[in-house]
Amino acid sequence: MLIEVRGVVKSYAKGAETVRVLHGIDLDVGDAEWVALMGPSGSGKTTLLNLLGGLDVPDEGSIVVGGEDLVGRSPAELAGWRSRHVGFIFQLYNLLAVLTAYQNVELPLLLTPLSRKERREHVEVALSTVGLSDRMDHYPSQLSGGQQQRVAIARAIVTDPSFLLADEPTGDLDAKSAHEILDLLQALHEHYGKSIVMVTHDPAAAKCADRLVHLEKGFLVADEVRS
Amino acid sequence: MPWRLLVAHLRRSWFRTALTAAGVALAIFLLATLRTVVTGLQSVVKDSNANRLVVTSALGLFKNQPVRLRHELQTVPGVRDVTDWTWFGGVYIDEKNMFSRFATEPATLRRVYGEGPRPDIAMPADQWEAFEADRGSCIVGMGLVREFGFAIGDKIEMTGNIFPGQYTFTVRGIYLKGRDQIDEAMLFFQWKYLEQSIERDGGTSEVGIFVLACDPNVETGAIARDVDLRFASSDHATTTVTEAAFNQMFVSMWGNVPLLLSMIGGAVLFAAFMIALNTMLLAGRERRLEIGVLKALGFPGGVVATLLVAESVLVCGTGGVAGVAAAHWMFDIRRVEILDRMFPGFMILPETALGAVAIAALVGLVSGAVPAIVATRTSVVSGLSRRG
Repeated sequence: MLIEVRGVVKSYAKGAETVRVLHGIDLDVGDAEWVALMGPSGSGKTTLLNLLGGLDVPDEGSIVVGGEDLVGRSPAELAGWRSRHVGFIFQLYNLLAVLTAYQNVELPLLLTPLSRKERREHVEVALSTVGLSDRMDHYPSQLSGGQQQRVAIARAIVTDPSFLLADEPTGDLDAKSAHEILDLLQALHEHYGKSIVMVTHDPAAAKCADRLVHLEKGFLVADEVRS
Repeated sequence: MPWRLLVAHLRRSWFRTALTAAGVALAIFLLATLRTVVTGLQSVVKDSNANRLVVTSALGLFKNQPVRLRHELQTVPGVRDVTDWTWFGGVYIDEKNMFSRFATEPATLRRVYGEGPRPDIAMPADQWEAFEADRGSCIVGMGLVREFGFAIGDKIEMTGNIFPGQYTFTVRGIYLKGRDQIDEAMLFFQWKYLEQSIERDGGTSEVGIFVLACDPNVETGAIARDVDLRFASSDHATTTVTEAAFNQMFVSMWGNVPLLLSMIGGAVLFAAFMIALNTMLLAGRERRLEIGVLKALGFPGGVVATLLVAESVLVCGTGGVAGVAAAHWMFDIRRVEILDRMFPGFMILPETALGAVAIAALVGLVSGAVPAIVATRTSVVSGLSRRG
C-alpha cells in the first residue's frame, strides 16, 4: 500500500472559533492507483490532499506513505520528503512568473545533487513528455492555460516522484485543454505507473480515476471502485 | 539555491529595483559627504605638524603683534626657525573672489613649510628664489591657478581694506600642497611690501601670528611655556599653542556643526532604510504565493528567506557602492573647488567609503530580514492560498 491514512482529524482556527475540517478519515491508496477525491466545497478534499502531500500536519491520526510516517516530522524534514516523493499539480498552475518554462521545471531539481548537464537532460525529457519541447524559453505569460498546466505537470514529474497530487488540475481550463490534461495524466498513470490522488469537481475528470472517494463535511461518505 | 530566481526578480521589476538602489545611492552619497566634512575637520587637527608652535597675541587672534618679536622668538632654546603670517584681506576685482591672502617672510616661510622630503608647500627652488628676490612678488596655489588662470609673471591687482591702498603683485611661483590639509587657494606676498605701505601711512610694523619650527625631539609644551613667560609682563603678552591646538581652535568655530551633520546623516540613513524596507515588504507580500510554491516543492524556509535577504542586500549594496562611487568621482577625481576651499583635503577616506557601503549592506540586511522572517513563518498552505 502506498498511502495509509488512519483516523486523521484536522481543525482550523477561524477567528475565536475552531472549525473541524476532517473527522477521523481512514483511506488507503495503492501503488499505481488513481484516486479522485470528490465532494462539495468545504468538504475537506483539499485539506486531505495537503495532509497527504506533507504540506500540513494532522491534529490526530497517522499518515504513512511508502512506509514512512509523516506525523511528528519537522517542517524541514517534511520539505525534504516532499522534494523526493511528491509531485504537485495545482488548479492555477502556480508557475513562477519570472522564470521560463525550462527554469520552472528545473526548480525541483535544484534540490538534488544532479549536475547542470543532468538537470538539463531531465528537464528536456519532462517537457518533451508533456509536449512542450518547443516552448522551453517561454514565460508563463506567453503560454495558454493548458500549456501552463502542462509545464506544471512537467515540473511535478521531473524528479520522478512516488506519486502525484493534483488539486483540480482542470478546474481553470476550457474543455479542450482539460481533455488534453486528463489525457496526459492518463498517460503518466498508464505508461509510467504513477499513483495519482486528484481533487476534482469535474465528472469528466473523475471518470479517468480508478476510484472515487466522496467526502462530505469532513467525513468520508463513499469509496467507489470504478470498473 | 535558486539564485536565478533572485536575478529574475531584479530583472522583472527593474524599475523598482533601480529606484530603490537610486534612493539608497543618494542617501549614501549624502552620508559619505557629510561624514567627510566631519573627518575633514578632524584631519586638520590630526595631521598637524607636531614640531610647530603658533604664537598669537594674548589679547586674541585678531590682535597683531610687533614684528620685533621675531628676533626674540628666534633666541628661544629649541626654536629652529620663525616665520610669520599676516592676514591681508583685500579685494581682488570683486568681493566675491574670496581666497586667503597672507603677507609673510619668504625665506622663513620656505624653511618652515617648503623644505624637507614632504614639504607642506611644494614649489621649485627657482620659484622660491624669485619670490625671495622680488619685494613685489607673490606666490599662488594651484587652486587659484585653476580658478583664475594665474600664470608666472602675471600681475595681480588688489585693493586693500584692512591695509588701505592699491597693491600690485607679480606671480613668481605656483605651489602645490604637500599634504591634503593644506589649502591650495592661498596667495602669499612679501611682508616687506606691506610694511612699506604701513609705514607710508604712519602705522606700526606688525604681523599676525608667528609660527615656530622647533628642533626635532624637543618638548614643544616647554617651549610654549617659555615663550609665554618671556612676554608675560610686557605689553605684548603671547599665547603659544601647538599647531594642532591652533587648528582645533578653528575647528571649534564650527561649534556643533559636526554633530548636526551627523544627525542629518542619521536622518538620511533612516530615510534610506524606510525606502528599502518598504520595497522589500512589498516584494515579500507580492511573493507569498511564490514562497508557498517553493516551500511546497521542498525548498526549506531558510532558502526562501536567504533569497529575500540576498536580494535586499544586493540592491542596497549596489546603491551604496554607486553612492560612494559618485562621491569619490565628485570629490576625489573631479573635485569641487568650493569644498576644497572650505575643507582643504576634502576627500572620501577609504574608511568612510567602506563604512558607507557596509551601512548600505546593513540597511539591506535589516530590510530583507523583515519579509524573510515573515516568509519563514508563512505556512505552505497559507502561502498557496494567496494569489500574487
